[in-house]
Order: sequence, then structure tokens, then C-alpha cells
Amino acid sequence: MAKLRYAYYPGCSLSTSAREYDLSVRAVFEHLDVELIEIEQWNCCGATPAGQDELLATALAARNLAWAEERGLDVVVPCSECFKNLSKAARALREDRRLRHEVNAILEGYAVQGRLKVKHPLEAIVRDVGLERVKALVTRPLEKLRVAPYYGCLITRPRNDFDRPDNPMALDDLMAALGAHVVDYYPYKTRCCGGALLLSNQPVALNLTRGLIMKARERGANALALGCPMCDMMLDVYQPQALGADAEPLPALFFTQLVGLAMGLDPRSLGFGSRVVSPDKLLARLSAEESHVRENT
Amino acid sequence: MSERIPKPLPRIGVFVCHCGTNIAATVDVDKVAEYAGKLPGVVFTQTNKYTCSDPGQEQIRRAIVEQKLDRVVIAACSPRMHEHTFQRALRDTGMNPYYLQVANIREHVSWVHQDRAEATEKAKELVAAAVERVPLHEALESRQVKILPSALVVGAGIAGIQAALDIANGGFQVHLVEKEPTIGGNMAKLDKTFPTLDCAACILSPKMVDAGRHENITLYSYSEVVSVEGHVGQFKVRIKRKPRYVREEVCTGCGLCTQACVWQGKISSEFESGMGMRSAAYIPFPQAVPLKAIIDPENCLYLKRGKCSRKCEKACGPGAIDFKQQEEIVEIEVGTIILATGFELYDMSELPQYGYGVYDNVLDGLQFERLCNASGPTGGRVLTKDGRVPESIAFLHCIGSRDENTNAYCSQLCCMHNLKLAHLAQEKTHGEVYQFYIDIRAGGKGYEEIYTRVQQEGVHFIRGKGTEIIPEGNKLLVRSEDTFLGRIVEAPVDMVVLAIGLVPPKNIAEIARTFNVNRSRDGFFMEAHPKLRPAETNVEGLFLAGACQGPKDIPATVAHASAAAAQALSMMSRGQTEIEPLTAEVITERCSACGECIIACPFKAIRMDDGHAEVVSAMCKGCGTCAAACPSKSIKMAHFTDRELIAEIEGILGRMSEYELA
Amino acid sequence: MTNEAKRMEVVRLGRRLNGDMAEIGEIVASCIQCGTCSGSCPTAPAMDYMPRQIMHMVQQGMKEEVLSCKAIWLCATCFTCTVRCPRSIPVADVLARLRGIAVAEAYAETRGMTFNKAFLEIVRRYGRMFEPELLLRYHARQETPRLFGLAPLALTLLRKGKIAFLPERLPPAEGGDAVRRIFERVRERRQAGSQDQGTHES
Repeated sequence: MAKLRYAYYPGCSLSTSAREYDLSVRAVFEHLDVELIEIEQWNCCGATPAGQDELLATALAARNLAWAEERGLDVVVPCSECFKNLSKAARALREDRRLRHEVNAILEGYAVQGRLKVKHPLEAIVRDVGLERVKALVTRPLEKLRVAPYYGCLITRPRNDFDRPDNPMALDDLMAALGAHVVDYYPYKTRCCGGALLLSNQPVALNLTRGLIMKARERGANALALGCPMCDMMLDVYQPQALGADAEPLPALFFTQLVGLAMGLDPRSLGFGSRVVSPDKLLARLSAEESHVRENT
Repeated sequence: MSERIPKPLPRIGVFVCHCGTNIAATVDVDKVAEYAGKLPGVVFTQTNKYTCSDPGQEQIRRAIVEQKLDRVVIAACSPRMHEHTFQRALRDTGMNPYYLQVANIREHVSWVHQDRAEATEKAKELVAAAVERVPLHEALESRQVKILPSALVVGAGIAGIQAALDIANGGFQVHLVEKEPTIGGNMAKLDKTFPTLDCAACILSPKMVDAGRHENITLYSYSEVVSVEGHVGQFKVRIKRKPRYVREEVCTGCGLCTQACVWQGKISSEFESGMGMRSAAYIPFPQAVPLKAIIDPENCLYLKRGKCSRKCEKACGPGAIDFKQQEEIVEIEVGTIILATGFELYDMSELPQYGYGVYDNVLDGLQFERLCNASGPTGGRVLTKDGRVPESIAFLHCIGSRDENTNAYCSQLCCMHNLKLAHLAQEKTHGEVYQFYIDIRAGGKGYEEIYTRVQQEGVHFIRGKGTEIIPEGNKLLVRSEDTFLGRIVEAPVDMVVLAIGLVPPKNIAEIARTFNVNRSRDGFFMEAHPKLRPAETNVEGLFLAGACQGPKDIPATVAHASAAAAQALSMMSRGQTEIEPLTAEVITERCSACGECIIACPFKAIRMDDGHAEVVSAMCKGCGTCAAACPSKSIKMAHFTDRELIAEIEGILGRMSEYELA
Repeated sequence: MTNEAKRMEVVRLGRRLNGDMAEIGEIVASCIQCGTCSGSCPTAPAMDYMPRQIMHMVQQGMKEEVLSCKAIWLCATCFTCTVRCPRSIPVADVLARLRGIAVAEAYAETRGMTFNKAFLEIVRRYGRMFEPELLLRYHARQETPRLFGLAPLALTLLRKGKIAFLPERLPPAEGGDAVRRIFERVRERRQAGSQDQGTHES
């Protein structure tokens, strides 16, 4: 089988507030022997604010898509917000002829058609690489982990081909493939964390975050797996503030950090040290299981 | 003019219709008639205000006789409107009705173009095409086909039962086929029916008994239709009788085997919609027709693994149990068919936010009916799974209906159904009852009355669709926007009843293929015309009764079923029907028996016979697919031969030379 | 007049929409006011108007009220409304567009509006986001800037290498100019479009 190759759109937060996500995605994909080629001079997709102007949002995204499309590559986009923007733009370019013409007139250079797939790394791992291959590479099954898989909003909404909007299972299945115990806290796995409102309406955002952390705890989770820098801002950086004195924070980790961990990669190379809510206790618990190291096939 | 035209030239009359202003406002009708008069073969032209009217018809008849016309061209509306009418006028004068050609200068010209000059030119072209074609028409004769005096009714819910009784009472034979071990369908599960709150069993049982006993009805329970061949008036049907492992002629319905069965009532009962249990040997419910036991091969230990002491056999006095019973195929021939295959509820796995099948105490309407029913699993008491009387119940409307994400249509009966259930819930629990709705659709007779009554009984109406159910402690939280207040509300209730959308049965595609019936976009069977022919289909002699055509409540179903029966009775009492001769014909000398036409035919109307293909003209719809598929052009389409079609084209192209080529 | 006072007035129907609002009116035309969007919305309890009400107000041409309400700035862009709407109306996108019109037509500034404007200005200048400046710009326009309250958090993030000191600019020739041109050309087209009250070219 030919080696998987994707264009890679890290997005603005992956070099700053979500550094660990970038580190762990690159480490895991390399370990899976999947090539990621960063889009040269990629620009910001405009995140939520750009959504107020369809032409602006599509044009900003299209500049990045053009690079990938010209090289015949699909794009992997770790940040869920960027993922939503780029996949929306790709679809709009494919389906709306008038918009496509306007955008290409604005961009100059390569005329982008939107004929490429935009994928979240979760999709690339679960659907393209496949869970069988993932399982085969697990050397440290995460058996002591009771993980609440958190999709947030934008991995499965608006509707796409990847997974269904209500009660998706891709992340659940991936965590199970890593040997973890998956906590069922439906419907909170896709409930909004409020990330988009962090600055402009902080109390509302904190309240939403608090709600879903408490539910995950209630169902027995000792960790949360997520896939979005905005969710990360709420569920790691601001989690202590959201919970206040009421409860001990739950370690929230990028799902790729957990994949890397299960595959025996060094936690430091996966950015475990950069978490605000410390995962140390969790890591300690997992290390105690070293005697259960599985043989590679 | 080409050499193909027969000599002597037929005398052609051309009639151009004004159609009031429908055509005349856009097309210069007089100019078209004038032009037509100059075409070769045309000996008479006339314009009419309304050709389809009595005077218009009379003018045509008179012209045919007086002018000794051999062929007629009528330039008017689409032939789908009045071709039959005009053909009758020809027949009245003794002329073969297929010597007519209609040029559509309304739907194809005046209704789609605005420029008068251009429209008139186009109308002239279409008339020229018709005039070029019509001399090549052949005199065709309709065929008479005999209609057997018997009907097949597929499905024995209230629709099938009603249709069967109507036909049987009319003196004709009925073969009534039902896939379940008992007839009665969904209605048999209900407690009380709206709007009058009469008991479903009380009104249905007499009909069920009649149907089971009627001298003109042969009931095939626990059976399915396997194949249908043949054509209107003479359908050959094969019915598979599934083995009950109980000899029906011997079984007395005493039920001792069901009590003896080792399963001891631990299998979920289909009739109780999962709310109650049965054994492997069971009788579906006490009023079942036929009242015979049946052994379920999926669960029976003896049938599955050969390991059972067969207590049922020992308990049976008359010795009716027969584990060696085989499936049986019965072949019958009928004149008409009525489909009454009913509905199912939408698969809720697509809507996980309601917790159906996951959370306790989230039910569908039929399950709630079983709780309400005195012969149900709780003896008519509404109880939660752990046996308490619920203090509050929420009814959610439109779950999987009126929703482009699931089923876009409205399921028609759920508003009324929910109002009735709300009334029953109040009566039985004296608790708080909520209705989360978008609209209350109460259009039938007596429906608004029961709506008012239920309101007065203190049921809470929240106008807002219930968006999700969240378990909280031992309660279920229903979240919604109360749109009248403009506020988000959450109702903590003990039980939720979902009004789930009605959909066709899971194997509807297979049924449609077996009977060659079309389906509408919503998946239900398609009627021939939504307003004027709601019980007929595109297959002559095949009719639709009840919810298989679209969601309906009981009054509408009964009316629809009687309509289907009336159509069938009309055909069977005539005893014969006319089949249009617009069918395919194989030119046997040219046929190489390659079989492409048989593969291509969507109506299974061609078969191999004596070394060449043979069209069964009674089944042929004249679609032309076989003629197009035939590699050696050995199939001729009556009235649509290549010659006739090319002549039309040449009629149009012939005018092109009159244009200046730029 | 406040929205509160406006609520007590009799609404005169027959207000016609044009331009952008007419387009949005067409998108929401098939709304049956079922309330699924509001009922699914995580922030609806905090809103002054329910998302459903906003759909209806757009249909009724109540432009002023819609563009000056708090609700549109409380949308968390979670898209649950969009995914569940039984008439397939892209509710979240409609609210996003309304936000855009409110910015473009200079309605009274809300915190959400400040954030959006600051964000896009930074993207325009650098081609990529630069969070420290975003916070500065945002808080500079607040009545009670909370910048100093963020200090402990900022220190934690700094220690973990999660804050950039300098913006990651796209060099002018390698995307910087291209991004600025995108903003410019979009603005030109918007201005041209708003003068033209008729339909778009196809």
C-alpha cells in the first residue's frame, strides 16, 4: 500500500497555546509512517470572526487549499475550528460556482476548485490508517485510563462524511483501541465547551465547561481526550477557574498525546509537561502498569 | 414529400384549437391553420374555440363524414389531456381511433413561449410534423382481456380486512395474505381510538372474525407473497405459507402448549411491542384470528438445537404440534390485487438524543397503548419499568416527522394519537401530562372537540419541539423552548412517550419490485393521481388500501380501503377490460434470441418462446426499452415505429429549408 | 429607543427587506418556528431573544432590533441548531452573517464585536494570529479592562512556552501581501455590492 501523505495545516494556535497538539500530531503521524507536509506560508483561516463574511472566510481558507490542491494532496487540520473553516470552504468552492469565481478572482494564481478532502487528524487515523494498524502499534495499553472522549462541536458539526453529529463513536473507538476504558457520558461528549465566548462572555463559557467536566467526573472519568485548541483552552487552561473550589480538575489531554503515549513514545516529546492541569498522577498510575507491556506483533 | 407515403394520399383534416385564450393569446391560430392547408395531403382545415367541447367534437365528426377524411390532426393541448376524447370522436364515425395525431401547441408552445411570431412558427412546425407522420399510422385494435372474478389482498390490518370484506360481500373470491400469525395489524394493539374513545378491539374484532369466517375469503396467515406474474385480469401469484409447526386444522387455540413451553414467557413479545413477554410456543393475543398456536423457530430449543423435552407436544390434547411441518407454496390466479401492507415506526437509532431503547421509560406510542390496554402486560395500568405509577408523563410530537434530517412529511395521525394518549394518561395516573408540539393537526370530524376536551382536563401544552431527553437522577428531563413564552424550559418527568414518524415496512423495496409498483419520494407506494385516483397505481388492476400509500388514521384508512375495493369490484364485475394496442412486437424472422430485450424489460413482459423472443402484450406498457436494447432492430413499437418517428422529425426539418440560412 | 421600549410598540408589518437582509430572509423563509434551534442551543438561556425569534424577526423585516440584540453575540458557533433544524436552515451561519452586517453597518459595539474586529485586524496585518496583541486590543476597548487579572494565567502559560513574544508574520512577499489583498478586495466587493440594491449577477 502506498504511503499516506497529506498537506498539513497547523493553524495559529498550534505554535503557541496548543503546542502539545502540534508536537503530538507530528510525532504520532511519523510513528504511523504517514507523511505530513506543512503548507508553505499558510495564513490564518480567520477562526470564528471570519464566519461573519462568507467571501472573506472562503478566500482566507482557499489560499491554503490552493497550495494543497495544486499538489494533489488532501489536508489534515488538527484545530477543529480551522477544520470547520477549511472543509466548509472546500465544499462551498465545489458547489457554488459564483463564489468560486469571486474567490479565485480575489486570490490570483492557482484557481482552486475545492476538489480535495479536508480531514481532522482523528479521521485520518481512524479511517485512513485504520484501528487495526493502531492496535498493532500499541505497546503501553492505557488500561488504567478511564477516558471521557470529548469531540466538542466542530469535529462532527456541521454534518460531514466522517462521523454522525449525535453520538459519534470514532474517538471512543480510538481510545478503546489504545486499551483505555471508555466512559459513556453521552450526550456531553459533543456538548459545547463555550470556547468561542471565552473573551466576550466568560461566565457563560466557564459555566458550559464546568457542566461537562462535572458530568465526565460523575461517570467515573479520570481523564478527558480532546481534539481542538479552543476546547483545550477551556478544558485545560481555564478548567480550574471553571470548577472553582468545587472539584479537583480532570486531566484533559489532546487525543494524539494519548495515542503517542500508548505507542510507547516519550511523554515529554508529546508535550505532557506543558499541560496546565497536571497529568502527573495519571502518568504515574499508567507507569505502574509497566509490567503489562505488550509484545509488538 | 418522401416516397414512403402510401398512394393514394390519404385525405388529412387539420383542426387547430384556440383553447379559449390559452393557445390563441400566444399562437396565431388562423395562420397555423392557413399554413396547414398548404401541406401535402391536407384537404381540410378548421379552427375551433374549444375542440374538446361537445360542439367541437361535433365539428370534427361532421368534417370527417362530409369531407371524407382518412386521417385527423388536432393541434391543441397535450394528448394526455384529451387524446382519448378525440379518439372516441373518430370511432363514432367509424374511423380507426389510431388515425389521429395530436400536435401539442399548448404545453409545448403557448404555455412556454412569449414571442407571438416565434410561437406561431413553432406551432406550424409541430403541425407539419404531425401531418408528415399521420399517413403512416396503422389501424390498431384494442384487445379485450378477461378479468378473473377473484382478488388478492396483501396485508390484513384494518385496511386489508376492510377491502377483503367489501369484495367478499360483493360476491367475489378473496385471497387474504398476512405475514404475521394473526390478522389485525397495528390497530389490534391499540387501546381506545380517537376521537370517540371507543375500544379498538371492540370495533376491530367483529371485522376480524368476519374476515376469518367469510365464505368468500381464504385466509393465509403467517404467509407472504413470493412472486407475481401475468397481467391485469390474470395475475399468477405464488404464496409462501411459513410453517407454524402446528396443524391449523387440528389446533383448538386452547393455549395449553403456551403455558407448558419451557421458555416460561421469557421472550419479548412482538404484539406487546416489547413491553411484555411470550414463550416460543405462543398465541399472539387472545382475540387473534386465526386463534391458533405457533412455534417460533428462532427461539424454540427443539427446532434450533434439537434439545427439548417438548412439553408443548405433551400438553396438546388434539395432538396438533408437528415439528416436521414444512413451508408450502400455493399458486393462485386472481383478477385484481390490493396492497394493504401498512406502516412501521421510524428507526430511532438515527435520533440518539431521545434515548429510545437506551433510557428506561422512553416509549413509543404503540408501547404506551399496550400499557393502557386492559389485556396488555400491566393489565391496563400505566407503570414505569420499576413498577411505579408515573407522576408525570411527557408526550413529544414530531419525532422523525416534518424533519428533513429524517422524514420530511407529516405522519398525519400523531397529533390526534397523542391527544388521545394524553387523555388516557390523565385518566390512569392523575399526574401531570405534558404535550410538546409544533402544531396541533386536528382536521377530522370530531377532532377539534377532543382537543378542547383534553385541554380542559388540565394537560399542559408547550408549543415547542422536545429537542432532547437527559436522565437526571430517576427523572427524565425534557428540554425545549416554550415558543409562546420565548424561554427555554426543562420538564422533569417519569416517563416520555415519543410520537415517532410512520414509515413504510423495511422490505418495501422488495414488495414494490414483486408487484412492479412505483413509490413516491417519501417511500410509500405511489398512487396514480394524488387527488383523483388515490387508490389506483400505475399497474392496471393493482390498487392501494390504507397507510401503504401514505400515513393515515383509521377513518381515512377505512375509506381508502373501500375505495380500492370499489375499483377492484368495478373491474371484476365488468369481467373484462380493454388493453391499448400501444405495445411492442417482435419481428420473429429477424430475432436471433439473444435475450437482451428480456433483460431490458422493466415489466417482465417478454419471454423466450419457440426460439425467439415473444412479448406478452397484456403486460407490455409500450415503454420502448426493449426496442432500444435490441441489437438487430427486431422489435417494432406499435404506433411509435421508426418510420413514424422519423417522419415527425422530417416534418420539422423540412421547414428548415424555408428559413434563410445566415 | 431600547429594545425594551420597542417591544411595547405595535409592529407595523409590510417592511420590505433589501440587500443582505433580503437574502437572509430567503434563507430562513421555510422556518416553521418549531423551537428546535433554541431548545438545542447551549447559550440560549442567556439570550435576550431566542434564535427562533431572530429567524422570525428577520422574516418580519425587523432589522434594527435584530442587529442590535445581544443574542447574536452569544452564539458559541456550536452548530447544534444547524444540524437539528427540520427545515435544514443553517441557523448558525445566519447568526454569523447577522453579526457581519452589524459590524459593517456600525451598530452599537458589543464585546463580541470588539473581539471580532480586533481578531480580523491582526490577521490582516500579520497573516496569522498574535494573541498578546489580541488581548491588548480587546481589553483596551473595555470599560473595565481586565488585563491585569490575567497576569497569573499569563505567567503559567509563559512558563509552559504557550505564549509568543513576537508575532509570526507572513513576510510581505510570502503571503503577507496576499492576505492583505484578500481583505482589501473583499471590502471593495462589499462596498460595490451595497450600492447595488438589486440582485447579484449569476
